[in-house]
Amino acid sequence: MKKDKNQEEALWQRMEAAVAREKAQQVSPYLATRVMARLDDNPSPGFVWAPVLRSVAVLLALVFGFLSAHWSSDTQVGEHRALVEAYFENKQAGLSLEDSWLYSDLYEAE
Amino acid sequence: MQHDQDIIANIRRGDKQAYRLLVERYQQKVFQTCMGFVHHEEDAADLTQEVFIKVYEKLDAFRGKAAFSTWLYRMAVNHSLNAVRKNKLKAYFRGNDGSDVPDRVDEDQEADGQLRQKEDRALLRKALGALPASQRKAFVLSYYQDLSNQEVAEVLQLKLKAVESLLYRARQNMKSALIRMSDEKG
Repeated sequence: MKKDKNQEEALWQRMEAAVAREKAQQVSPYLATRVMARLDDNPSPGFVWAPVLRSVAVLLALVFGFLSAHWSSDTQVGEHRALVEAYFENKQAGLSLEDSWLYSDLYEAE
Repeated sequence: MQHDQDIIANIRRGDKQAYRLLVERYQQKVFQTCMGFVHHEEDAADLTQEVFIKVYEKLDAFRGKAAFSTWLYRMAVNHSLNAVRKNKLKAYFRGNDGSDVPDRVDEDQEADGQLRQKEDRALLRKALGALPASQRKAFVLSYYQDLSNQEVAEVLQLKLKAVESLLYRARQNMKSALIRMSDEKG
């Protein structure tokens, strides 16, 4: 137990020494010049449009998606149209619509 | 010595070159913070540069409620942490854990002492990297920047007690991690 404590203490001291060595590193004297050179290429401080435009684009896409879903649910097939579609697609030609047309007097007269 | 607020007022009036004064005043502190996250001199220098550019771009958002240094250190800590996360993600997709960045030690100078320093640095990087973000921020501000607990609390926008607790838990977690890593190594 005591050995563990000593080991822990020794390791911790080594870590503190490692931190001190990293801390002692000096920043390049040209850093300020590099920063100022980069800023000369950049616009002055103020409103940055890029993130705003990105957010607006995402928002518009979401609204468009929502509205599209909404409109598509509005155009549900009505009852009358379903009847006509069933008539043509299922080839149920014996329904009353065709019967009345094929066997009507009008048809025979032709 | 010109006060930070006066320099900022000059920058806002269009004197871009006044910003150099702020950079020169705080570059070492910001660099130390970045070192605490990336543990590599060149990467820390690049990160320091990015922090100062970001701070300049966001200078309009600085309202002066806290000291400029507090705001700057907050940006430095958050930006560094984001950079580390991005690097970890990149490293993951490249197929390593991102913790094996080689230290630059001259081969002919690689004596026992330097090997040990290299080892300690790797241990420190791993132990610190394993800490949760809030503990890591508090540790770096306290140990790398020598900020008081009160100053750390201001930078992290926390209560003093919370910072004390974070630092205590950071030390405990690091000690456990160090013992574990040391045992694994044999």
